[in-house]
Amino acid sequence: MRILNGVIARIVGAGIALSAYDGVASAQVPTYPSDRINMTVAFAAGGFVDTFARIIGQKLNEKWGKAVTVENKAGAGGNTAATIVANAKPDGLTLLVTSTAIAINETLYKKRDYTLDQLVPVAIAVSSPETIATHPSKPSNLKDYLSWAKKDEITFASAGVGSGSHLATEYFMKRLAKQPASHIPFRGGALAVQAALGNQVDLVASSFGIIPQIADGKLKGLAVASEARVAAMPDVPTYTEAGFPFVAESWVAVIAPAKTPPAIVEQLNAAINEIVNEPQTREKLLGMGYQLHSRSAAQVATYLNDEVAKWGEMVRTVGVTVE
Amino acid sequence: MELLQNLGHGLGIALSPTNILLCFAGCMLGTLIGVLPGIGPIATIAILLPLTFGLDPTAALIMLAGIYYGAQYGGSTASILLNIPGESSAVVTAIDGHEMARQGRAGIALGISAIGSFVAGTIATLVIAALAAPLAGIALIFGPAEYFALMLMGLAFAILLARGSVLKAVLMILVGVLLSTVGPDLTTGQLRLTFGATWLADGIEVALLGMGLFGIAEVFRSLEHGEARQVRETQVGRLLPGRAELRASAKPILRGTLLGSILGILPGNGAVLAPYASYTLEKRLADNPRRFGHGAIEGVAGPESANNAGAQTSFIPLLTLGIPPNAVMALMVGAMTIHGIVPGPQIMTKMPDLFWGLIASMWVGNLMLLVINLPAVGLWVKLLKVPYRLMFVGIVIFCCIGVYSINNEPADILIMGALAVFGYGLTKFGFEPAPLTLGFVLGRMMEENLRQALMISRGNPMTFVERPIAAGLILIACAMLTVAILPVIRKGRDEVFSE
Repeated sequence: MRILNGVIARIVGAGIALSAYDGVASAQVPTYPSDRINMTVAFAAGGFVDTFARIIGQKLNEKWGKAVTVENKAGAGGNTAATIVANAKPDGLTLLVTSTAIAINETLYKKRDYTLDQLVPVAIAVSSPETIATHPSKPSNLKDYLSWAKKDEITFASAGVGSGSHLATEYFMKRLAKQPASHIPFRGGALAVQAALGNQVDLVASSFGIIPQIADGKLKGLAVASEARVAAMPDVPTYTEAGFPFVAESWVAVIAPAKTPPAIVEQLNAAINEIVNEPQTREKLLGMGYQLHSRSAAQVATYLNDEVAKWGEMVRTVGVTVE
Repeated sequence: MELLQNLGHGLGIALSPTNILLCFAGCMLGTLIGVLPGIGPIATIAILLPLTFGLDPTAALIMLAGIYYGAQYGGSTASILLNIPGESSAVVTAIDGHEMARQGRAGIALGISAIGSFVAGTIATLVIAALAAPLAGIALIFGPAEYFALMLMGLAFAILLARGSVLKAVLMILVGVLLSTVGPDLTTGQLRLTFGATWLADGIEVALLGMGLFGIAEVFRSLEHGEARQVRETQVGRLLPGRAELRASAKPILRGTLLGSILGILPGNGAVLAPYASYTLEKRLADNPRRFGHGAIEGVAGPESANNAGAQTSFIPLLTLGIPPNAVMALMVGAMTIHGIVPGPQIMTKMPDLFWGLIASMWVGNLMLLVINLPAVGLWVKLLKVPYRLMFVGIVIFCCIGVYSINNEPADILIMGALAVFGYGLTKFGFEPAPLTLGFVLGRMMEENLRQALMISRGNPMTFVERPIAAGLILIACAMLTVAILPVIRKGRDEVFSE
């Protein structure tokens, strides 16, 4: 069985390598995975990072015939899980599934028990842009909104201090819009959205979590921080269209210990990209408002570096640190 | 009429053979994990999520919802029989429920909690079906200022909840609030009261508090007194509540259902207050409040109904606003997204099969739970005949497994141990752990909402007076505090320590 699975993985893997990228030779490791794969999720069960891990885990299991367990190790803004995987055996059997937090925490946290050098990114295949929205009783496009606010301090809700939504929005207000805004942190994005639904705050900043309310007209989306509009809420313009070139996206990353053999990283990268692009999964993810990206392992590494720099700049501008 | 049509449509879906089977499986599984201390619906639903991939989304949600409310039923079994509340809601049931079990009335306590939960579940299902959309709108009036006032009122409940000294109850609440502040500060992200320990960095789980302060501490107490104290082995009495008991419980069940249905709608997890509110109400309305804490059946019937009604109506914010009010509902969001459903306002109109099927299945599930649980009462009560020297080992092992399953964090087991020793010490000195738990549950929410409200009002405390609902709730809290403290002041020091 093991040999057969290996052969199948090799054939499938080779097929992906040819179709997805131009000329990236993808060496397969016939013995991988030799045992159960453990995905350590940096956040609690139920969130998108967790959901994504469980979707991928299930499909990897179907693909390779090895059990895939998902373990939630929430804590310290994702650092707990990162530390565990940074110190795990680099055999590709222990993987970290985390979010933009891993890029943000490089600058946000003064002290961490791991360094990014101890990890190697495998895949960053889905993202959702940071979005701002407001109660329908308020002006419904960004330009009108800002002139309505007239430089008086407005309040905006987010999932918490140091969350991508908080940083991106405060950075935008401070640097680009020059609009005074005071951040109201909530424990989790859902409660922030609730505050906006009830018109308790002037604005809410969130990523994918806000799409259903915008799609249903319960909230008005002002801008999305991506290159192109989001299919699930086509009426919401990008920041660039609204006159403020600005891109900030929230993503989910699968990451392995740094010394994991490159061939295994390539194999996992190919498998995850393939799973995300399966018609059924693809449709689901798109419907939820996600944007999909097929990036090779090398592209993922470059992307992560750029993101660390970009979020670092936002963290410094906003001026928050966690000891 | 439309309502009946919709419910009929829903029943048609819920009663399809597959869905009935899955609903039954969910309820059964939920009951089991509810009975096992600590292994809560969160861990179970998370583990089962991938297994539902192959199912039709409605069927999957029916099963997962079954686990959730099944666990609410099962949870009361563990608190009544063994005094092990796995979550904050069951803490209240344990107060009088476990006392009843000690008096040999375990069967009656279990029976009334099953019947109360069924009545509450039935009424709450109708509430969801008829009023979900308008109620969701009302819930949105609740902003941070209102939640703060609600939590303040909750703490006033905690004082009334106490059996003995008001002073001791206040101290316990403050300790609970203090424990709730461990972990990251909401507005700055800085860690508080962790003493540099990484395993305290995310605060303390409420389940640890329940199992440590109650469950394991109870084991200590039982072992201290030897097996002779255990009424468990001698006689268990009648298995089901009689007519007099049903009559005494009827009104508490209805009042509890009403309170639970209302509080469950609040997206900020107002449902946690429901059993406490119901207990306080029953104690105040009772002819002889001194019976409470010594096996009063109203103290089981009311809170259990409130809890189940709240568990049911907490689906309203999820299904109508897309806002999960608690961790289990957050998992349901995960389950929906895995099945390609975006939870939110459009579910009711765009997916009537799912919406009405799920609602109808809740009622079917509650009926099943009654059918599963009433005959099982005899079985559960037999469990008490297991010699305690075997039983306590099992309790300790299951508590450890349960605690570990929450965060996969070994240090949590040590925290639970420390809390158990603390809880044992508390009862030795006549302090009660129940107000501490409520202080813990409400403390963090109260602090966070207070700070959010003040940030939104730009530091102006008048926001609590200007907003009518907040002002009204604070007034009620003050009135309740006065009720609790006045007799103390009037009757002088002698009476202070015994209410």
